Amino acid sequence: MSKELEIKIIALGKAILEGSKKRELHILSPLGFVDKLLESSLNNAELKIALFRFVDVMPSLKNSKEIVSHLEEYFLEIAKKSNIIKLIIKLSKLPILREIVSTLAKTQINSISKKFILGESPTEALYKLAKLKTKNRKYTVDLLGEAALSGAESEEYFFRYKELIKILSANSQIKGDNEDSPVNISIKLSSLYESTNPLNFEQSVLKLSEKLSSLFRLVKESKGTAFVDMEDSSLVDITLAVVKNVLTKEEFSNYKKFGIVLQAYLKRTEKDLDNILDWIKNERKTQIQIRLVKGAYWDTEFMSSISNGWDCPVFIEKTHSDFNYEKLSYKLLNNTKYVYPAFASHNIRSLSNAICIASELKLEKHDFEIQTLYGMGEEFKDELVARGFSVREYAPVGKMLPGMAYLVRRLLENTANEGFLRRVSFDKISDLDELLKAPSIYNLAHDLESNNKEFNLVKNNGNNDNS
Amino acid sequence: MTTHNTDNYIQDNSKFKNCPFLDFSIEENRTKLSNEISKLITQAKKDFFSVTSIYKNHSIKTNSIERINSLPEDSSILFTKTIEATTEDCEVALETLKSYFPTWSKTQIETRVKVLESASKIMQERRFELTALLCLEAGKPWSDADGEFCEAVDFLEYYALQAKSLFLKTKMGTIQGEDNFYFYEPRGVALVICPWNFPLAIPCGMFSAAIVTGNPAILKPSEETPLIGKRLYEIFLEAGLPKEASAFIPGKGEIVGDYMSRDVRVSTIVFTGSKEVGLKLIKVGGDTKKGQTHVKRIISEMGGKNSIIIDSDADLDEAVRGTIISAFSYTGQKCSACSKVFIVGEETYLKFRERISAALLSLKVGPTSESANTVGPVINEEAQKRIEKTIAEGKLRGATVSETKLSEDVKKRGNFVCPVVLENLSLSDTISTDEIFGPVLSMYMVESFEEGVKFATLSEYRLTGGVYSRSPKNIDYAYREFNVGNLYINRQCTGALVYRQPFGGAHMSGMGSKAGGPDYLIQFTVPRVVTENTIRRGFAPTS
Repeated sequence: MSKELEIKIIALGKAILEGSKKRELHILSPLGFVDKLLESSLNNAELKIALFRFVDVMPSLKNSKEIVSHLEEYFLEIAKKSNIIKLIIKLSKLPILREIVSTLAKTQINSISKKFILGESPTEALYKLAKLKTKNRKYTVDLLGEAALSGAESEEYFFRYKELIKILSANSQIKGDNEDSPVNISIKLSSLYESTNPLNFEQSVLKLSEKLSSLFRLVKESKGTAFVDMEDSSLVDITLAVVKNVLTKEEFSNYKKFGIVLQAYLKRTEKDLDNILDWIKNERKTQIQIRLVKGAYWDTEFMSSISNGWDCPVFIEKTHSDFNYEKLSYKLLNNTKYVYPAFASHNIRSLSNAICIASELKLEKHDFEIQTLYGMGEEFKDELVARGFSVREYAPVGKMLPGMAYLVRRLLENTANEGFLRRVSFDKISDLDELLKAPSIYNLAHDLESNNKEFNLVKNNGNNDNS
Repeated sequence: MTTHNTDNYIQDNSKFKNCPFLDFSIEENRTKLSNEISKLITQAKKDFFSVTSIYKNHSIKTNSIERINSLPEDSSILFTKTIEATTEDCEVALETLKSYFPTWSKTQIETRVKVLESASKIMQERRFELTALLCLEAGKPWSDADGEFCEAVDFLEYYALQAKSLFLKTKMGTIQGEDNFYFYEPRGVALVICPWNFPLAIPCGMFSAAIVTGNPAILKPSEETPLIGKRLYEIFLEAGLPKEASAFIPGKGEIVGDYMSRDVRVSTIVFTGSKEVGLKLIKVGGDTKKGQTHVKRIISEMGGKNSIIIDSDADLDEAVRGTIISAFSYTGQKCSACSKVFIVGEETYLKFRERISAALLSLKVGPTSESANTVGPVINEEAQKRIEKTIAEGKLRGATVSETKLSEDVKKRGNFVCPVVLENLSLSDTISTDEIFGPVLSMYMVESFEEGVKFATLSEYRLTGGVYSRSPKNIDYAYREFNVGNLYINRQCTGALVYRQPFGGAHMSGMGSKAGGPDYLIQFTVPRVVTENTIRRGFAPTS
């Protein structure tokens, strides 16, 4: 990479950060005591685990008695060190106050989840989607739900996706002039077939291809866009096979607005991208969209590979995922004839890199887009929109109970030690050069060495940064 | 946050690493296993795999009985033909082993450890062949078969590692003028009687433990799975185990098993199987005969009747998935399998009921030669008939929540039983009390978590148990009160790993010893102490 480019990347990154600063940054708006707890949890691992576990279990609690007893069970030890928590627990023992404390906890968690989740149903989401439009942002909607463990449950997902497409396409309120269709959805394949797994490879590909084709057909009818999300690494082959399968069908062969998601934290992704590019060049011959993310399941991938005794499929060091992200960004931008790239990240360095490469390659601003998560890093988004970039938010719809898994993941990211957002807004790192510096070059030898190290899980817990 | 008694503990720092599972998301692994399975089927269709006794000075007898086994998944494929051992075979084998005991017991520990390490190496080279054999002869789904293969390798590696330190002498005390040494010695001939449900891993663990601790050992495989037993024994011979130190005796439990367990030349009986046989062995083994020079030790791992408790705050995604794996993987034919689920509160009961009921309809039941099937056949026709009868009677006394449908075609082909979930059965019903060893799960609603624990521990068995809860208080309660051999919190109650989850239960589940744990090998030894007074005329060497 040239020195001039590096200087440009840092300069642009600084400009975006400076511009965002004027817009005032918060990890979370000052909503109340759960927010306060979240903030203090950033430097207290014990509190963080207790808090996240409480958030996770909260929606399954049936009454105020259960809520208050769980509060006490989770925070008892910590209460010995914190007066505010001690007070809350003490107060909640009084029957009159029990209702108040539990209601308070409920509304607090509700209000946090509302920051990240559009609503319980597509109809409920429309208001917020319209609001996004006033901010000149775009969206892609995904569905949250419990795991699909049965045919009945995967059928229900299938129905929900169809309904989502229908409701979005019928809505004139959100039909924007800057986009030709209000339909833009992201689909999780594992929710569409309950027996999706590598040992059931052929059936998985077959069943999922059928279901995905039906959904794609509806999306195409409304001139919309659909992405197939990438899930855990064991499903990458199935996902790629299904997408290729469906997009090779004649009815979709000329349609450009279908996409797939690639995760930069996976060591295999570069090879996957090469294969996809070859496939488009030689077989499909029509552009597809590719959303590039860092990857949201780092801890799970890391822990399960250790537990199974497998080579870790993800980069151990966060900086190597960042490096790979930049490498893949370059490859995507170099192939805009075949792909329309979407750079999904909250890391300003990663985005600045993509933008600067695009301008080196003399690409237009509409040759790619930036994607972010709904409810996170608001100030960046406004700044990027102001600079004329297309910003699309990944926005989920779903009920509170299954939404918790998503919410906890978002909270983890917001508070991850190495997370960009946290470093800017909580740690208040003012040395922008440090914040925006180039990621370390990754080479295999280094990685093998890291793989052999005995890793401290607690230390590495901060690596969960999808941003 | 957690209040259970885990604040004070010692961290074990063993260098042991479990054998990695196969990553089936890699296509090559699926292809290799599939090819091995096809190869075995093709071979079997041409001719049986034949199994006979293997021991030093073996001569073919004419009065032997032949036994033919077909594949559990397809009764039209005759898979093995066993020439069953007779008591005469036992006589010759026992005599050989007995006379070789002094030699084997004094073999360098390094030599014995080497046998296990070499066996592990050979096994790993034949990984796909052995796993394929488990899929076919034992009717095991791919993941389960792979897990069992890994467990077998783990036993070899773990016991090899353990044996190295076990046989180091310990000097007791630091008194000048007196040397005290504490050390372990082999017990004598061991009789290893094996089950069919883990026909590679469990025999491998029991047999290798006996061998590495210096005891000549007889491997008696289950009548249902003689070929895996033979393959295992051949691997040991190839790994350098002297033929004089071992014997492979396939045959009927009631004939050769019974005969050898009564024999005075046997010092240790190691058994895994049913409670009925286990208790019989304890009785027979305890009956000391005239001329017997030692008391037999019986290591007996028996059955289980295992429960999972679902708390009202449980994560149902995890609980439903985990309960299904615990109850139906390997068709419920694991002693660790869950057969009862206690659910706290009506709301959770109904939600759990709805989800598991639907999920049961999506279970993939079918031949385990095919990778997609996660529930296979049961071991033989007799088991199939017995389980079906139990289910039919249970349905009359209780109610059916859900039952997996099976095509007539599949059902006709092999020993298949439809997985079923029942409810409304009393706690004293035989379905609630007896080990069924089949794909049967019964549900019970309880008032509180404590009541769940109380009911779950009513059983005479205490092997495994499971808890799905997000209440630190209730998890703590389970730690203390749900006293089974292996308790699993927020995960399935099957699939124990060597070293990480040493496995075994007390009460009617066994003698409480833990396979794959730090105390296992000691059972095959006798501790001795030698004390030497080193003072001569008021003079002693300083140590």
